Amino acid sequence: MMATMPIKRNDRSQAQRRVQIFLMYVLLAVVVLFSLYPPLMMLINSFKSNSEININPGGAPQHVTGANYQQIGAENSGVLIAGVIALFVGTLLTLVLTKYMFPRRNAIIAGLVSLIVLGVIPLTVASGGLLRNFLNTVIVATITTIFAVLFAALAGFAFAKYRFWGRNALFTLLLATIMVPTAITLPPQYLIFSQLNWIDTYQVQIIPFLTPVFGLFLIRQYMLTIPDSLIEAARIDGANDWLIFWRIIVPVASPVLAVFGIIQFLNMWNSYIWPQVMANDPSVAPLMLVLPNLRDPVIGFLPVWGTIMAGCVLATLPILILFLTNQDKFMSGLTVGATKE
Amino acid sequence: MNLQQRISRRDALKIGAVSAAAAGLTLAGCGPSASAGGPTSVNLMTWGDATGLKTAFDSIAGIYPSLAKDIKFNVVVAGANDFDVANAFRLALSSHKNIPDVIEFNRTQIAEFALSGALRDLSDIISPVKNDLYAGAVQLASYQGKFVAVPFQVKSKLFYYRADLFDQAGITLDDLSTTDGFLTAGQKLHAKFPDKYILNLGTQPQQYIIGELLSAYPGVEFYDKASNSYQITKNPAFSQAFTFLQQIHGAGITLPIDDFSNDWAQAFQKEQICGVLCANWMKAFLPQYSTAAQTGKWKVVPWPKLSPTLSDQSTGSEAGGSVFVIPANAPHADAAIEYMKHYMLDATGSVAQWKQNGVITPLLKSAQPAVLDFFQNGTKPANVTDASWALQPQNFFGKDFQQIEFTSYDSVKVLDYDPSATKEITILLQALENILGGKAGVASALAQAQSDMQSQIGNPYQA
Amino acid sequence: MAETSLVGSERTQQETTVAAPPTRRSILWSKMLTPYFFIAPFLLTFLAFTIGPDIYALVLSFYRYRGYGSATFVGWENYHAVLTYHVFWTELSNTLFYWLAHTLPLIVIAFGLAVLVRSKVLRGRSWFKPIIFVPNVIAVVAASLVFQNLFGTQYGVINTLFHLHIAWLEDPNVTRWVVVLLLIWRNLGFWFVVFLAGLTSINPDLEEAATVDGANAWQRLRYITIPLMRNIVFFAFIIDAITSMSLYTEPNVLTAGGSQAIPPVAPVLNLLIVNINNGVFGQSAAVGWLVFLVTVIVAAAVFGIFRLTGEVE
Repeated sequence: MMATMPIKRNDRSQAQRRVQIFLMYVLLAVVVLFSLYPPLMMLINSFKSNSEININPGGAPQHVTGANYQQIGAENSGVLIAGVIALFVGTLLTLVLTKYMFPRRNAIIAGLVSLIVLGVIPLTVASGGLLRNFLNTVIVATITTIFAVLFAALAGFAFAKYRFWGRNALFTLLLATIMVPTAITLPPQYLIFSQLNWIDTYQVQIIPFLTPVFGLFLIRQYMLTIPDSLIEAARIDGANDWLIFWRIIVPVASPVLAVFGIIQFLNMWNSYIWPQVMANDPSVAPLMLVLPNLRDPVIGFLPVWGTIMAGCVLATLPILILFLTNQDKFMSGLTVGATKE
Repeated sequence: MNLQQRISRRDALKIGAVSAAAAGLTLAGCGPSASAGGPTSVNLMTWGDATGLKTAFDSIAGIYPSLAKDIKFNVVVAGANDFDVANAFRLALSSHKNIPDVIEFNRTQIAEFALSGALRDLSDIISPVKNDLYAGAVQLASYQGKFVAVPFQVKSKLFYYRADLFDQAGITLDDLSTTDGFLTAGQKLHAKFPDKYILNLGTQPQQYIIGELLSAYPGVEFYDKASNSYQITKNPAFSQAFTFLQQIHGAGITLPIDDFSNDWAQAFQKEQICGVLCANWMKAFLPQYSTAAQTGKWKVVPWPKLSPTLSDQSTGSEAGGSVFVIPANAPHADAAIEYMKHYMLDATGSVAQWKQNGVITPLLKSAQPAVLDFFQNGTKPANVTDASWALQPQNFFGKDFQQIEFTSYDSVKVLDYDPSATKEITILLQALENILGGKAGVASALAQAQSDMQSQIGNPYQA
Repeated sequence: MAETSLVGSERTQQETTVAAPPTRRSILWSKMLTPYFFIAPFLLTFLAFTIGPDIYALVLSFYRYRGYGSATFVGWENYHAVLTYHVFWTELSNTLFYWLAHTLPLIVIAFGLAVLVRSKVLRGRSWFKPIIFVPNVIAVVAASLVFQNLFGTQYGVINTLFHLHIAWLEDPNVTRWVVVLLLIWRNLGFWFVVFLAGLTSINPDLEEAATVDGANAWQRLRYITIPLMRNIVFFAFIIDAITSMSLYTEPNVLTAGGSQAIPPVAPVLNLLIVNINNGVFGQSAAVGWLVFLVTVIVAAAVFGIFRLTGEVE
């Protein structure tokens, strides 16, 4: 308890305090308004027709219309149906597996995997349109995250818990490459991937992003703190290294793996410069690439703000939901590894 | 502990499932593989939207059934812009894979490939119809004396103006024939109608204005091979063209809005723009922006000469236009040639596809009567709404529009582009933006452009 | 005893007699190789798709190559061309401007906000953290497009609401500040959380002791809070600086939608992209390596400044 000091309170200082507190609330209200107004605007404008946005960009919609969202699903009734089926079956599978498979975590993983596999069906059916681009983003982000986390976890474990020849030198070298911007590899990768015929595919968007060094750093830092006694105990029980990794390390390190996974997912979700050069064919392009180019089909160059805003909402919603349900992981990652985007 | 057995099976399942998913998605993401056997595939590479070219093929195959039987037509979209096509072609050439059979290019882009021998010589199909093509189309088809391209879309210079407002302001077309006259006319118009302008020109114009002005000068080129130097500061064409733009921008007779900016379409609707020094493709946009309310008020003529200062501006072309080329190593060159022979190089074929899209005008003079007849006497097709029928050129501008456009094709002059044309035009555009933005005078901006080209490009003709 | 073993598990050598005992050599062999198997996926992918292309880019930057045909060795010509191109310097200064103009004010603002939110006087504190972080979570492209709509000249929300007619996104001088505003808006959450975490990590006993000794709020801030947060701020600052050199999405989407921003507002990576689009791959690679050089210099400068003003861990 704080030692209480004799403080002379008089009316004037109390009034001063009240004013100060009021001003602080005002300041915070301004910040909240500043932070929330643009996404709110995005949501509101997505319910206005394109022409109304030109007349009334800032206020509430005079005619609320879902036409923009219809536009997103326009060419894709097949996708929507297949997607709904996939979602339904995938969720069912997950529930069933959760009941009969142990531990729960594996069941959820299996369910998610089946969801992804089923996602192939909508893809092959999807003709085009924003929904296809949305699916592209989901696919690329998910696959990259899964494999990036796997690779970094394996390597981080080795760097943290094993001593081997070249360990320190290698790790320092890897850290040094953090300063090398990814964009350096754009010209050569463009040439290399065209030789491999990988331009305008999914793999060109996935493979170069499987090894972010900051993730390795993050995971290694965390794994260093795992007590060796845990590992020793497992060894005594006869487990080999592979088992130790999957049964001990991964569960114990799951917080940092989740944090890294979220950061990587967010980065892949936002990727723009890479697909702009490597994958701008509409059937594989991510949603981010297509949104700024949406134009009025009749007139030609005028942006269709209503549809664009609806697409932005579509682009934002998954991450927002992920954020609201996992706030701590989103925000703690910054301070452990201090990365943004 | 029984860990080992249970875990390894589950792990194997997990890893197997994920890999299968990844593999499946990768395959799903891969493009469709070429069909084997049967009719020959012809792959046409373009940028932007593929539907126009597809419907064109369908309409031509409708007339020539042998084409439909022998050719399986694919359109490959390389990206949203023309440079995507150039890059895709470069990569195809380096990897010797996926070389398309036909490529659509802008005429400015083919120099690089023509000089390196990557394009098939097309004299065998163009020479027979050489005399039937408009002079501009012939220029499109040739590079340095050889026929290497099939002309597709010719871009000629047309001046659209509000005849009614010009009359009210007391301006005639002859007034515009000199640069001073143009300035005076612009001032007269703006004095009479304070909210209207004779042209629009902001500080970030589109690059085609440069090509339009420069192409009127005979023999102008960016780089002189003989003296191995850039001509930007030496050839008076550049300073004259840029000074003209600076003058009209500074005289207050231009609406400070740029082409294809967000406010441009609105400005037409609000009748603020009374004239457009532009190209023939504007016929597709102007009616949309001005709406049917301005039907019949716009007239179309070739550009005013603006002589003597600007050579003869009634001639020239923004960038020539767009063309089809056939790579020397195209896998299905013969099938591609067959198609080209029945497409733009055939009167019936080109008229058929024109009736579908109304944009790509036939370039054979022998097709002219059929086009004019349809243009002037055709009735509204069933699948076109009344609103968009009213905005078709024949209804918006008048029945004589097509003849005017055809005549303009003979005035087309294509600038002699070198392999680095795109970059050179970009550098010139930056100079123009500096001039219009008041950051530099004409002489210093052009000097900067010259030194930029020298340091950034060097010699555009070296490989 | 083999050196390559799990740390602290010397006992295991003696105790692996449970199953059919593997021979000593195979134990050694598998123990030595295991870590390499673990790092293999990461390392091999990294070598093939990061280090390899980095080296290729370096080599490429000394050649002139159009993507087909032959590559001609040109020595330093590409670097010379880039370094004498005024557009490169404009875009580089744009990048540095965007970095400093958004980070420096942001540090002050976010720090103030963090102190405010942490002080025990306000209610509803737990709401502010996620709300202030929301902008960071909105997709970059979506945020840029919303801002483009907000700041349109004719039909933008700002101009309509306040009856202004400022050419926000058409006058390059104003546009640069709109980009800065977008960057501040997006990254407020990041810095706020960094400072909040830093403040939370300070031992409250220290503050108590200072209060007992008679220090007021301002002095506590200056002599206790700020010095103790140096490391976390330093780390965040360096990472922010490195990623800011690779800025691309925000200026381009905000000012030009899907196409390229004009040089007065473009960041330096635009030159790299434009060179790829024009097929001059050697120059593009040169730009990339120059950006790397700039990143190193900037990081070294930040490091140096922090070192000069106190210790760095």
